[in-house]
Amino acid sequence: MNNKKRRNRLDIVRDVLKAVQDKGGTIKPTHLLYKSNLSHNRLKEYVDELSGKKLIVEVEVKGKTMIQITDEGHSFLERFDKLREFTDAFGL
Amino acid sequence: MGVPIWFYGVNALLELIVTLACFLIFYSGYKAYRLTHEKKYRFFSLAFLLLGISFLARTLLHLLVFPLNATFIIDKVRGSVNFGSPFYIILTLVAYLIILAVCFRIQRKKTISILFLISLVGIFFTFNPMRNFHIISILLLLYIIGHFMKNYIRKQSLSSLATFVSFLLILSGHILFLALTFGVWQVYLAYLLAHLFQLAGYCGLLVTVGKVLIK
Repeated sequence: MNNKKRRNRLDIVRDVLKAVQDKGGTIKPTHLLYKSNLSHNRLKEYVDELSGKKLIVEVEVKGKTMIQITDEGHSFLERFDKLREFTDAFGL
Repeated sequence: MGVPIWFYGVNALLELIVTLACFLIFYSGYKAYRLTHEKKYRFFSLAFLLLGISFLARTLLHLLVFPLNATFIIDKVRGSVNFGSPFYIILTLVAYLIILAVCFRIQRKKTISILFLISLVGIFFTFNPMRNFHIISILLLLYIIGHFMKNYIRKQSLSSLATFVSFLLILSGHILFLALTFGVWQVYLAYLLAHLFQLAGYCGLLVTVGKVLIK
């Protein structure tokens, strides 16, 4: 039996951002793929969503596409725990 | 329903505190929305904005009555106070329906609008709109509280317990206000307790939600 709790959207967002942050703020998409433990399509969805929310940006580094966390992304991670408590309090 | 004269002004003060609590909860919810851009936070904050406006309207009405500290004038202005009631009723009802929709993830606008219209008909096509408003509010709050109770059982956290208890207090306030429309219990005490329950409920929510305000 799988004892691991299923991650919700907010958990996944946090994991994706944390993976980028832990890599010094910039990460290769392939590294992010295995660090975030998502399928390619699901990760693309999240990357698009987080880019739309300006939490991450796609940048070109030496001709390669990299994913970079923004200041808003850092701020999001800082406030994540409080937001989690807020969400948990209301079961949203 | 008779309201003790000495309580005019005091009730406005209590409602003003509730108004501030609602606006701060709105601000916290809006901050959560700014952070996540998720609609549920936007609607959650909107519900408390509406509650804040409705309580502000009541506060202003009670403040208007306060300087006219005489029974006969109060009787005269009671009619004008009743004009403020529909405003309070409609905004509060919409706010509760939005909270219900967010809690139960109701996304169809038609479902909410039907609930709203049925509630309005049930409230205003009666001899005592305030009584029916409290009955409908109690019913809506029972469903909302059911959600928060399940949430507390699932999460077992202090904040989820605080939310559950806060809404229980708000519900208790409505029950007391309803009892007043039937003329049961000692009126002055029930009126005071109803306001205090309401105040405690919204302050409880403010403490829970306010944690988002503090960086």
